[in-house]
This record gives sequence, structure tokens and C-alpha cells, in this order.
Amino acid sequence: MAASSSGNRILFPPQMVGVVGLEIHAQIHAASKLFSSSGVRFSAPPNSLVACFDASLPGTLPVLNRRCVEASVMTGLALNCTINRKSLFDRKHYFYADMPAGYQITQQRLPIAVNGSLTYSYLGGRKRNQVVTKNVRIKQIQLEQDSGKSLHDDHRNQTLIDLNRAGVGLMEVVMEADMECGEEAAAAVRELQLILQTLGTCYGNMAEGQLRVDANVSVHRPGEPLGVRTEVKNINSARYVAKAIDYEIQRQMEVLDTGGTILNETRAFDSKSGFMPEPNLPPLFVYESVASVPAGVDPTQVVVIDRLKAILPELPGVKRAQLVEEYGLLPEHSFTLVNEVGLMDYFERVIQKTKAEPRKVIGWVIKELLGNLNQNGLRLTQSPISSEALAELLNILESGHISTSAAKVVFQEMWKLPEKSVKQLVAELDLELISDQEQILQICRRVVDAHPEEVRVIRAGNKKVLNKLMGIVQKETKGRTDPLQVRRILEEMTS
Amino acid sequence: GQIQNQSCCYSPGSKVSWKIENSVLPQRTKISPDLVDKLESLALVDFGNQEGVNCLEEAIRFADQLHVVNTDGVEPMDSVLENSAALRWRDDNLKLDDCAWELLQLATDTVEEYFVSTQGQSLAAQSELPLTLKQVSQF
Repeated sequence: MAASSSGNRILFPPQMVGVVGLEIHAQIHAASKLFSSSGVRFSAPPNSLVACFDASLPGTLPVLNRRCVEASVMTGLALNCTINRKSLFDRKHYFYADMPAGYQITQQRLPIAVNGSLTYSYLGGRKRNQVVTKNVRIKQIQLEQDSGKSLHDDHRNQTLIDLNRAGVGLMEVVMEADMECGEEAAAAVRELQLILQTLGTCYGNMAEGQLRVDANVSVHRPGEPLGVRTEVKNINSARYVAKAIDYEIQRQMEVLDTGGTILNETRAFDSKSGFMPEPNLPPLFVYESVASVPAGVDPTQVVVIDRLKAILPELPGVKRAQLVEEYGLLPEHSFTLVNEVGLMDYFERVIQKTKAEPRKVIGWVIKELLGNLNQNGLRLTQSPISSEALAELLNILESGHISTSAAKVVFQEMWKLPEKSVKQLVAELDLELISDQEQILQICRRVVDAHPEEVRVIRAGNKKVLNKLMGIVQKETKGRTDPLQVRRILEEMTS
Repeated sequence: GQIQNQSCCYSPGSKVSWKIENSVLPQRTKISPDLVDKLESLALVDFGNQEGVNCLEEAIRFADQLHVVNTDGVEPMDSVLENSAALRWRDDNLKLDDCAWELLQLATDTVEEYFVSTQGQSLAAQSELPLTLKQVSQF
């Protein structure tokens, strides 16, 4: 049995495993489209961002947007691909109302980048706190056009077409079938999303269709031939990547288990061979270095790989390693920091403003802050507790004015009353640590005297019962005592 | 070019011409009615009458002349513009024009700024998830 990311158990027939490959369409972040100068914007009025070329009016021709080439090369470099110095454009013919030309310009024969790899991680293990790292091969990255959007009006039996999206530049990233389940696929998609966002080549907002996932799913027993593939298309929610894939794996296993066969409904396109070279676009050349640009060609007008390599930003994997090195964090913590939007910045801001150790700070940021945000369905930007406020709380804790348990109480109050200052809350809640030694001794004495039975058990050798007495002291003092101190005192008194 | 009974010949002018005997060409391709149907659905072109089929068969005949050429070891070109300076590109600049508005005026049928797709064509209904979201969320 194995657990899916949704927490459900997938019942595998003996030794059957899932085989998952992905085709991910990432909308290139650019001001204009791939082959025309109309704009790229989500939620614009229908058919307001349409050039004559996008509507396939006769006499129009494609003119390649250099930004799109740069974006695909940078993405290829970040995914360890070989950049093809020469790549070609093709037409993929099929008829659909939201594609006026009757074909899509893509790169089927020779795409811009090939043979890369993506390293991704997820938190696995029983407690989901162990970083599991995997690798998936990137078969290729190709430049292609997006299609328009169709809205089906079944009521009036018509289809409404909006061409705003028609012609927007896409990078199709093809991941080989190296993944076994929905959780792995989702983690790979998440890592790709982080990389693309770091590069700025795609903003990766799945809800706005900037990143769409098609999954190819089959099942088999390891060592045996691969099973029949089915496609799960157009997954446009991060949550559903894992669920939809696991559902399909489960469905296939059930079909096979009861003696059925898997039907492949799609892929009919390939048998029709609707590809031909794009006659209006000569081959696309990119150059290794300025030195390799041929004479007569203006180097500022071409794409040079070295120039792009030089401006590649720090990728998520590097950031995670740096966090571990700089702050001594555990890998699973640095993984969470980079994975959650804005959390790394938040953490570093707290670190700057507090004397507390990074290992202590991370506990508060992940367990208390992130834990509460997730419980309340809030994003970090909606956090009632700012990084300054948390730093202040940690400083008061560090200076010994309050205990850890008291700090947690204050944290909850800060959450509910963000307008009050930390100092104010500590005073109002009367949570300052009792500094009067005599008072603490008296309270401990009182508790010990009131529990003779427990004291006898402790003296007989069962030291665990001491915790019970400690708990009573903490309760009596409303958490205003230092646990270590109380333990010492009680141990003495019961020795 | 023209295709005559005994041979194929082409004369764009006085400079270049050639003549190929029918006997060296492969057998003439006949288009079956089934193939006509398939091609009509693939191309969305209505040509299923005698004149249309003849036209297609003649075009294939004309292309048959290529079989006479020895292409061993020769990579086919798909563009005569194969040198590196041929592809012109543009900067990522937005161009605002009224094209979109004009296009909407051109359409015979619109509904609130949407184009309306004609029905009755064999358009594949793609991008339907084989699963419903309800099924998936219950999983």
C-alpha cells in the first residue's frame, strides 16, 4: 500500500506501479504575442487583444518575438538542457473553432531545447518531514502558439470564441515518464513553477491558465512492458495535479485487476500526421557567444546563450542549499521556506530583527505562523502577525521575560488582536516570568505538600510523575515560570 | 505547366523547360471514394465531384515527376532561406491598433463581442477531462 498526496491509500495490486509523464504548457511572460504585436493580458474584454495575424486574415505573416526565444533559452538553461543552435518551426494541423488558421505553429521536428533534467523534492516519510529528492528527465522544450478560448453555449447550441489568447507564446515542457504517482508529478510541477517564476519567464499562475498540465498515465509491473497510456488533459489547479493523476492510476489498476483493458481515446492525432514545415519561418538560429555571431549580423539583434547564462538568477535549489548552510537549518525546513510564497523573505526579516537563533526562529515560522495560516486558510500576505511583531515576541522570549509556553499564548493573542503591541499584550495577559525566587519556592512547596502520593511514587523511582507536578506548578503560575528552574526545584524537593 | 498525353512538360519561358516520358513515371494514382471522404474530413474542403477528383489526380501526376530525380544523400529543403540571417524578428513591443474592433465588424455573427462558431462542422470536442471534478475531489 502506498499513500497518495491526498492522504488516501491507493490499493495497488501486487507490485503494480504507476508511470506518469507530463506535458506542461507555460505561457511566456511577455508584453506581446509570439508572432504578432497584440497584447498579452488575462481578463481583457473579449476579442480586444487580436491582431489581424491572430485572426488568420489572408496576407498576414508571423514575425517572431525575440523575448519569447530568450525566455525559452533561459528556461532550457535552468533545466540543464542542450540548446539547439538551430531549431525549426512546423505547422500542426487540426480544426477547432478557437484556432482560426486551422493549424498551430509549433516546433515538432527540432525544438529549441532538448535533453535536460529537473531535480525536485517533496516531504515524505510517515510524518511528512523527510525530504525525498527525485529526478525527472526533460525530453524537450518547444516554442508554440496558444489557442483562443471557446465557451460552449449548450443551451443555444453555439460556441462563442474569444481570440485574446490566440497566438500567445507558450513553452511546452515535456517531462519523461519517470514519475510514479500524483505526488511526484505535483512536486515536479511545483518545482518547475518555482523555477519559471524565479526566471521571470512565466508567472505560473495556474488559476489564470498560465501553467497547464497534461499527464500521460499508465500502469504496469516493473520489468514488464509499459501499459496502455491515457491522457488526463488540461489540469489547471495545483491541488488537482496529484488527485487527478492518482485517480486515473487507481482507475486503471481496478480495470486491469478485474480483467479489463485500458482504452486509449486520444493520440488519434499522431496517426493522421498533420505536421508540415512552416514555410513562412526560416530556421531559428541562436549563438553560443558574441564571437560566434557571423559577420554582417548585428550581435545586439540576436540571441546569445552566454549573455543569457550570465544573467540567470539564483534558482530555488541553490537558495535551499544556502539556507541550510547560512542558518544551519534542516533540509525539510529550507524546503518549506522556499516552497511557500514569501516565507523565505519573512524568515530572513525576522532573523534580521532578533537575537534568537535561526533554529529557534524557524520553529516559530513554520509551526506557529505557517501552521496557523494553513489552519485558517490564509496566505502569508494575509498574516495578522508581521515579521517585526514576531521578532519582537522572540526578543522578549530570548531575554527571559516570558516562558516559551507563555509566548505561545501571546502569539495566539497577537493573531486575534494585531493592533496591540507585543509588550502591551504581555502586560495585559500578566504573563511575565515570576522573578521572585522565594515566590517560586513557595508555590513548589505548596504543590509538593498537596500531592504526597505522587511524591512517594517519585521517590520510589518513577521520575515521570515529576512531569505531572511540573504541569500543576505551570498551571498555578499561569505559565509564568521557567520550566527548567521548576524542574530543578521539584527534583530537589522530592529527592 | 501542362500535362499532356504522352509526357509532362513545363516551359516557364524560353530559358528553362523539360520533358519527361510517361513511361518512366510510376503508375497514375486513382483516388477512391473512401479516400475522397477521408480527405474531405481532414481538409474541410468539399471536392467530391468528378472535376475535383480529376484536379487532385492531375496534381499528383505532376508531382510524380519528382520520382525521376535521384535524391540519394540529399536532405530536402523546406525553405530556400536557410542562412542564419534570414529569420527576422521583432522586439517585444505592444502595438495598439483597431484591428480587433474591425475584425468584430467583419463577422457575420457575434454575441457580446464574442465570435460565434458555425455548427455542423466536424470539429472535435477536445479538452474535456475524462474525470469530473466531483469524482476527483471525492477521491
